Amino acid sequence: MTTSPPVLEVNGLMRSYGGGKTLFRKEKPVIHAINDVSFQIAEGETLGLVGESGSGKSTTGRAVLHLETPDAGSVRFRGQELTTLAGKALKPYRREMQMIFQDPYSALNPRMKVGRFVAEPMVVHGTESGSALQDRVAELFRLVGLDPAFMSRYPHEFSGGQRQRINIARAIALKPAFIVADEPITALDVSIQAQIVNLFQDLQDQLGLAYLFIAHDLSMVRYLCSRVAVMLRGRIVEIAPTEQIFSDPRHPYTQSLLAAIPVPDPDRRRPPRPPFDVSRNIPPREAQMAEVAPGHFVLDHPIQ
Amino acid sequence: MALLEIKNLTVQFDTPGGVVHAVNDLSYSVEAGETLGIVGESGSGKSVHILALLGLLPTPPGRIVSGEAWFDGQNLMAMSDRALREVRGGQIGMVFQDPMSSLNPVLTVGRQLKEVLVRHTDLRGRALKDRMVELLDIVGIPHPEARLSQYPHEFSGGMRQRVMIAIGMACNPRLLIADEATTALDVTVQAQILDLVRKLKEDFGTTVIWITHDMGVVAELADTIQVMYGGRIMERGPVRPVFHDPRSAYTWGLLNSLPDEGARTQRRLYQIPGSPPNMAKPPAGDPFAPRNPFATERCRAEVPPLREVGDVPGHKVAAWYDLPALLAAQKEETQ
Repeated sequence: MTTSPPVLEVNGLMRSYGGGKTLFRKEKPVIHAINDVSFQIAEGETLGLVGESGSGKSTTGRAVLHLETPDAGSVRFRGQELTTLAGKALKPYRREMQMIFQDPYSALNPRMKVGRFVAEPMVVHGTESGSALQDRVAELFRLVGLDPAFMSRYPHEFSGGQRQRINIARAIALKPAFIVADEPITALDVSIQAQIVNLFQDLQDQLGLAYLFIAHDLSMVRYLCSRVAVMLRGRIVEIAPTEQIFSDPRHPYTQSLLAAIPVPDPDRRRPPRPPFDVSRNIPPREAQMAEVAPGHFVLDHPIQ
Repeated sequence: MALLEIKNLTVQFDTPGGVVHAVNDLSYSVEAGETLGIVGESGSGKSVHILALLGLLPTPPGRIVSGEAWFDGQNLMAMSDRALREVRGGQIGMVFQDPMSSLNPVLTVGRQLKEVLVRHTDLRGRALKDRMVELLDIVGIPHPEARLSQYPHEFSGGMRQRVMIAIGMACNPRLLIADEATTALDVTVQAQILDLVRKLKEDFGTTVIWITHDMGVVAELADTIQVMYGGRIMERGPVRPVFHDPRSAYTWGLLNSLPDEGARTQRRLYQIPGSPPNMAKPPAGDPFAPRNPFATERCRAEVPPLREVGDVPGHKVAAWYDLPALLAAQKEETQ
């Protein structure tokens, strides 16, 4: 994992909102959605990104993909700096990096046949056309476990799990190297979640994909990811190999997250534990990561 | 004694795609002081049957075909809207999933709490105000006095859900019904809410129906688990035998598809094949049969009755097959 070269290197990424004048207020306060976020993902690796709502997980995913322009910091794809590129120069890299969203219902166009929806990126990028395009779409349907005969149907004819499969087929259509999956199983029925998680793994095995897997279900993260990064108020406070995070969490916020997972066993009781006081423990700007074990980094700041 | 007893409840929806069979001849009871955890996915009928018995089902398209719901000696299904309004929010408290749409955005939180208390209790003036402050305090909202004059948008998602629970608990209900009340919350906030509900049970002896898709939440909170699918009960019983010795292939599949704790032992998770049933075209027999690798001809043809199973009283399953025997045979085959 750590020996293969990174497909993605993120360094000191920042993104803030506000600051500008509005009609009713002179200046809005600046909110740092993400602050000094740095991590690497190796080829074919899965990095989990966890934290509460508002911690900056989704903003990180969007900034990495250039769906939002970062204020500062660097994003390198296979060594190529992306933050200085724009427009046409960025286009070839957009093919390599795709996104899968939480809600499989709103991501699909209700008036577009699902076959065309999956074909669209290939048409836009001009990678396939004619019967080759049709063959490729059929191949993608089979890859994600859907019958190619469904190509001419509309989204409303599919269940939630099938819709997420369609979204995944579109995301892998351009043979990307890296996918940001933002809570991709949260909106699905429990009996379907395992199906989609297995599909993620199968596609990784077959296509060598690397994932940034954004989630709040820590048990699924433990299963799927080789490393985990924990975010708190826009900062990564801990990043380590998955088993290290679960067996030896060092940051008190990570500890409180893990202690809060309900255990599906009536004989084991989650120990009652006072929650981590987020508002009193916002990491200061100057806080630095310290390596506490090989590959295990913790943000060093005083805790109340 | 049963505080709530549901008898032969059947609910359907009339849609352009046909009649949706949402709840099918559902019967169960909840004892006073018991916590019942109901687990199910979309189309299981877990939410619809609650809306039906509380008189909150939109009709049309919904239609209560038959059934009774006895609460404390009264049949909720036979009550007038007005009488039912007195029960709802009073003796029966409710907390639903989405606090953003359940709270009125243009009224202060205090005003909304007051509305419930004035309707269902004799509290007025100073005593009323004290009770409002006390309620926000019980659910762990800091500075309750100041918070009463704030609007829902000034609360975070977790705090709004606490307000909903405060409103649900306002009149010391005998029965609290929560439908996916913590699903949208962060895991740390969920843990606090679960601790709070457990404390309310201890302090007030409240009977609870907790609807969720999370087996972990049920294991933590419930005395009895009821697994629903296709508008029917698939399995039901005290949590320990159901978790440790499931008798329905659906319960078994749900438990088995959860990732193991500890180091990863297998590359792929166990997955239940197929999709939840389309209840406009319900399967003829056992609703889970089309997705059940153990299903027999009889499962596909005939609906199995809910029957006692195993050694623990109250453990019931609706299945024609004998799951432990099938699993043992399967194990022998692979060895």
